[in-house]
Amino acid sequence: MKKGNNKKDIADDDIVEMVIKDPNSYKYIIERYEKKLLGYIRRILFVSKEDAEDILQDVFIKAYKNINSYDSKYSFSSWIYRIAHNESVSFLRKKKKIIECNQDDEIFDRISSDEDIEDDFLKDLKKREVRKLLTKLNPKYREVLVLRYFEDMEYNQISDILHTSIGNVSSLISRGKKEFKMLVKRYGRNI
Amino acid sequence: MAGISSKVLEKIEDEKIKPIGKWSFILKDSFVWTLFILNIIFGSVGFAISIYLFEASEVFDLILPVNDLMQALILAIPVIWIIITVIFLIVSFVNFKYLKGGYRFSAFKVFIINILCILLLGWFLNELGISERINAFFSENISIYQENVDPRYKVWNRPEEGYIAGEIVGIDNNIVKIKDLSGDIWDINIGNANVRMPVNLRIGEKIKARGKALNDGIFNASDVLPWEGRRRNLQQNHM
Repeated sequence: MKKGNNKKDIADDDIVEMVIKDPNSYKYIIERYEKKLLGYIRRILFVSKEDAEDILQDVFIKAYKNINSYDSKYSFSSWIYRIAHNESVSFLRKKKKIIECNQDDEIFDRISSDEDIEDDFLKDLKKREVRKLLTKLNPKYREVLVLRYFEDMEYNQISDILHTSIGNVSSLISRGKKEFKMLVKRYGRNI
Repeated sequence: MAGISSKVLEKIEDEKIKPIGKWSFILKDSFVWTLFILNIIFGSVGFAISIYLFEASEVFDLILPVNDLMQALILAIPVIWIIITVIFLIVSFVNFKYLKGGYRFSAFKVFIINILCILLLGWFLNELGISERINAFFSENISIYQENVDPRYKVWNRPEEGYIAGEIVGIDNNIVKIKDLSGDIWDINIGNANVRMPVNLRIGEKIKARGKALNDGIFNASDVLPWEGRRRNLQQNHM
């Protein structure tokens, strides 16, 4: 594998073009998305760091295999998050796992990216308690709230990731917020 | 974190993983689109034949004056073809979600798009006369088709109520001998009947007749109509 230049300014679509011509360029995609996707997987699954990394590896391998299916009419970010969503669902199905709160919050905090708007959105909330409440939230609302408020996604991007209409995204967010508020009232001691 | 990057790249190299060819995805998309188009076409054909059979029953012109609306509809609605149309509508609805970007449309919009496609294309196919040809093809090639699917076999097989149909087996002046849909022989008196276009009164021709059944297998006809053909044919009489 070749040694990387600074590719921060190159658009995702251009990197995809580079990967198709030169597989070594795939490392730029991994570098760009590994932190974001690891955070996303952990936020929706509440799995250990090791499990999340295994899922992430599968995500990148699958994305590489299917790189030719990426359509530049859509955002690359949505496309790769969609793969992460599918792999997460598949992981849950295989493990028949019920989501529980991970006590290892310190590790979780380190993972949180600087780009997260979590701090803005949850100014008055305690992060750990919010995460615990997220585990109690109906899964169909949890993921959409994570994408909107932790991953800072627009409605159309969430629609592309979850493969549902923008109208449905909007109503899921609205209902999810209501349910979250009810959970805050019931369980949120410090919120 | 750097570990993941190197592990993934190593795995790609070690297992010689290659991206799947673009053609494979194009093929998959084309397959889903083809399925969707076929569902719409089959649904439309179902709807077109439903319209054709309903119209061919002459339900509004000749049945309604005698039977009440509900009774006429129960007799004349081609239930099997309506069910087939609805099945293809549901399948195309599900199929739509798998089209590229199909998920972006709300369920309501998808339903409206699908139903409009099937209704409009079905209406168009019926206007072109394709429904009549397809129905004739099924009638000729599937032995149980007509009696079980074609509502005319119910609507026009009620001599006691004034509706009879069958194949002409003999002609003697104003008496047309027919073998009706149940296999019984009737003498149809057409002396005072309106014989509608395009009835030719030839042996082997299938006709419908409205009138009154008398004793001993005699039927006094007031209207004689072609077995095939649609409502607009009723506007014309033989000159």
